[in-house]
Amino acid sequence: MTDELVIAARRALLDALEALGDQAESIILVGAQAIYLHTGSAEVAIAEFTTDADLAIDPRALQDDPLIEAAMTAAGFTRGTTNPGVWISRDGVQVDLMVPALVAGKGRRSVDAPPHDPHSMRKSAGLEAALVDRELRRISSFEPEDQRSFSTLVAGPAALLIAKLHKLGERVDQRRALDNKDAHDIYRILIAIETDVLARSIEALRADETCSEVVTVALQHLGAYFAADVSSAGNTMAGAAEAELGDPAQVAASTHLLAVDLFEALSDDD
Amino acid sequence: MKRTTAAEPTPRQVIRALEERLPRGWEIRTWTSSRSAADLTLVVTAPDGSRGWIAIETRGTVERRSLDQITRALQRAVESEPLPTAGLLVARYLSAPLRAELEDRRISYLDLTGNVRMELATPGLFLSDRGADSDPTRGAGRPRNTLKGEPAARIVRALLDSSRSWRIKDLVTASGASVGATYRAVEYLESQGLVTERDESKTFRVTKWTSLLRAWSADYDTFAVNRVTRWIHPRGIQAVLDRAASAELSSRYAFTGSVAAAQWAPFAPTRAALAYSEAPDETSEAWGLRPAPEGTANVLLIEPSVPDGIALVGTSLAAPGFIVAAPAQVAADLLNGPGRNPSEGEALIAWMDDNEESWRL
Repeated sequence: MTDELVIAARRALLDALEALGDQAESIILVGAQAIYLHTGSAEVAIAEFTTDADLAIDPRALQDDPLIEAAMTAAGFTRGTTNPGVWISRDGVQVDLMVPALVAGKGRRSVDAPPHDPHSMRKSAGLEAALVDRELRRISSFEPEDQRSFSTLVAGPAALLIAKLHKLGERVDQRRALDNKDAHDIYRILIAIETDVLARSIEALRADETCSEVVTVALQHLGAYFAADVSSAGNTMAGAAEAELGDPAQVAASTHLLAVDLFEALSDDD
Repeated sequence: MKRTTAAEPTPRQVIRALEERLPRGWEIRTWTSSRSAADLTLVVTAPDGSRGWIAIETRGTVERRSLDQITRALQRAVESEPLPTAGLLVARYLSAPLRAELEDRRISYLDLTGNVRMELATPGLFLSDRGADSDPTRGAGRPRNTLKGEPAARIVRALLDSSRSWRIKDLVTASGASVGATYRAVEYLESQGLVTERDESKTFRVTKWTSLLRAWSADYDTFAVNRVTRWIHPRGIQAVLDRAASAELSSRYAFTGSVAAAQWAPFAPTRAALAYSEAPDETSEAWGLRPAPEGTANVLLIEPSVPDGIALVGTSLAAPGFIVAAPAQVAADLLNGPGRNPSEGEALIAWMDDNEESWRL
């Protein structure tokens, strides 16, 4: 059962991939839509649910032409007025174009990648691992009448885990229900991907200078919010995302156990 | 996880109580809704074919101080249903003051003595009737526990698992129970009409296996007689089943409950796997289970209280590669199980009835 909003989010993603087709080598799918590609079969109580599309952009691989803002506008996207890098599709779905902070230049939120408009993309911390851990996947529509299908770089599970841990770490103190879904996405990754596989990818990323710092911070968050105790904030949030639908206590306990397993696997490798 | 206590109305009691009061031409059935927070969901069909859904909260007894909690539980149950649904509280008995309070709160209710007030907007239905004004369960009941215990379980399982005529000595051989226990059980079953009276050739048959199964399950509670340990597999039940299918164990095990029933009569996805295990330590190790913190278990291992317990007799290899208990055992365990298990038990019994030749040899 695919939700109407999930279908619309995929449609907007395809619109953006089509618009940025000539820049495909610099575009990496991140966020929930990337996570679900890896975890589709994971046994969880809440349906896969996302209402937006997140793309990371590697400015080092960007061509001068077409300009990001021109390509997006030509495809019917409108720039959001709140933050840089926010684009709204014709159906009202938000597509975020984000550049990992390490390669985004000196701006606070905008991106230094001339000749592209600095506000066409947003500087975002935590996505650096997606520049390294990624693979080509084919992205197709959920609608039978939409025949579009693009071969696209998709961030790997380890990079996605690191990005989500980063995001959660920035927001955990606010304890907003909205962020429970990020914690639940972390749970999805932990249950869907074998611990050893995840640990090996994280080790490789930790050894890569592009993202070693981000990986270190993410693992600190994994320790503090998941591995420390079953009642740590991240576990509770992951469970709370299933309130009324699944089994919050079971989800919290599972997330904690898998975080501990991951830590053990990482220390075994040392 | 909420255990269905002995005093809580079972789905079939609820359905029967409603059926008795529905106007002619109306029908009621259980409704499977995987995301439901209700104890039981029913669908009512009016003579014109229009349908309405009822989310039911079942309670054994109700106390006034729990009414707020019941109101919230009903609201949650109703809101969890994707289709337009009315709420209904069903209890074994509701006192007159409680019924008045429920009416004030506009909560539909039904008790098993016949007190009912139920409103359904679509299709339009209003039921109102008076039952008892005192709690009948406080009085003397029928003799219980006659089919409790391992010897009775072995005898009943033998009678259920093959369709044939019996002599006492055949049943002693087939069940492994003592001659004395077998005589006592057969005499009791005769007195209840669950087996035919022995004729001149001293043979008898099961009159109706569904009745025998239900009578047995009312007395035999696997969770009460065996040792139950609680475990969690952090990757969920499918991971457990995959491990069970590939792991080599030196001790015997068999899944029961929803996981086993799903091999014959698929129902809603399950939150907990139940398995008999002769050696829970070995089983948990092989399947990657960890001891579950309070309220988090997704696997329950039931260690039979006697060596060579009946629960591990008649097991079979399911298509996915793991071992499941015999259908009659699974059905009895479901009828005594938590949450929606009793409804799953009913679904399994319906399957067993349609496919008797495939399990009753």
